[in-house]
Amino acid sequence: MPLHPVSQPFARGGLLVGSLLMLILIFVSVTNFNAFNTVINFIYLPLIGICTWPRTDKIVTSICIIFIFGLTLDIVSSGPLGLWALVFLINFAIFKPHMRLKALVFKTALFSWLLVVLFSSILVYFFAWFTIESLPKFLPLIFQIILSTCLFPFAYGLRHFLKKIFIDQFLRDLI
Amino acid sequence: MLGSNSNSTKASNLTYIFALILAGGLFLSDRGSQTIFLQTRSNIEAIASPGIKLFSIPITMLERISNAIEERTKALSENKALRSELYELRDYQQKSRMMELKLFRLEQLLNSSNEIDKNKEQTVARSYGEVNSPFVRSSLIDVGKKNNIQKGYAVSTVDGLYGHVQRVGSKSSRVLLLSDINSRISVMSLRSNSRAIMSGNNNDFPNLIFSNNYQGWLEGDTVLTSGDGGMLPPGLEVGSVIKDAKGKLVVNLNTNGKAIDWVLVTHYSSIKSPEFETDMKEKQTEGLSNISEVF
Repeated sequence: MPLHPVSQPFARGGLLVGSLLMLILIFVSVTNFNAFNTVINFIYLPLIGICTWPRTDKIVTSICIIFIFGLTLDIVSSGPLGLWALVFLINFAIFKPHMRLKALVFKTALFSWLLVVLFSSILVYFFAWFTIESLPKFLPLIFQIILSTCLFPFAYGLRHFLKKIFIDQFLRDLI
Repeated sequence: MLGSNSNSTKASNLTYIFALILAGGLFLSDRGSQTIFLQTRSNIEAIASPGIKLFSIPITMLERISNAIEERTKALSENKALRSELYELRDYQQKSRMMELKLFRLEQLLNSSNEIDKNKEQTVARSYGEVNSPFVRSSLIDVGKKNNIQKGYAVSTVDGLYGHVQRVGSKSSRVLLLSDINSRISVMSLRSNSRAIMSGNNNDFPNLIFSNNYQGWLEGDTVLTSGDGGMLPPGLEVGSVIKDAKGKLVVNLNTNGKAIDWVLVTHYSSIKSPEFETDMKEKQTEGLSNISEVF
């Protein structure tokens, strides 16, 4: 069966929700949390925005938004320019969140999040190796995955809340 | 690739390939140097900093709760330690006053008062966006050009040196932490006066490289900024020397494991070499003589 993207009427609201969620997650990901003598970052958090990207036929717009958010994250996290843009785009092409057949439910979202974050960790590991020219430590990356996974239910809840605000109640469950 | 078989899919595929090439190109050209679009980066950071600050408010509240719990558990033992330290410090205070008086008189005799310290200006700032990723270790502070902050200024906490200003926006600045792989500062041992370069390595314990005397460094030595090169003020406490798992001497930063919220930016202009100043004067004199010849 060919994969048809969903039709336009609920695409606009969906894109707005996806973009707002990404923006909030980017801001949260670059704030640091100092607790019990440890600095905690949630650098993988914006990937939640990718794996829960709304079903839409506005693919060109989606790619542009994701690319811009990737560059924004690169700049606000003071990392190499283009890194997160690449990671976001690769994930978008591989997991195709905009083309899922059913509306997102928590279990599916969590499963796809785990796939996305594990795949992205491998990408980030090799990109970091390429950038700093020495092998980065893998443990902090795993720590980051666990921390971001702990925040996943909150991000999912936030998405649900944004959907309630911006999308009509009859179309809400289709995004 | 990204949709059904239609014209819009072709457009989306083309857009995707274009975005991917652009991102890859930016990544390759910016790798390691981070020098592309410096002005744009500063502007975007300035725009994003109120947003980051807003989202850091609930996080700060959580931090305060965790700090309060931590401090409560330590309070009793710390109180005892502080009381004994207070008795010791009273003796030191008396000695210090005597030394200060002596130093003042000697400086008067030699006519060489320390003007650099007297002119030192500092700005208090809030640090709210520390990033500890495999690529970079940096932080955002909420002061910028409007507060007369300039590139290279030292940023410290009550515990010691934290980093230096890397980029300055209008209302915010990016601080390169001492542990970042691109950070290099000249340091000295308080005990032996030995000099070295402290080089960041993207973990919590920077390396000591290019020492003039490796025997002069021992485990437990207090590490201070040496002020060599004139980029940072001398005498700022950095950390202490420890041995890593391989037995190599590294620096345990004073700011390690501490909650960084308020920082102090020290205004310090790098010292210009006398040759440069002489050249400038000569050029000015030449310019003036040329003007007088014309008239």
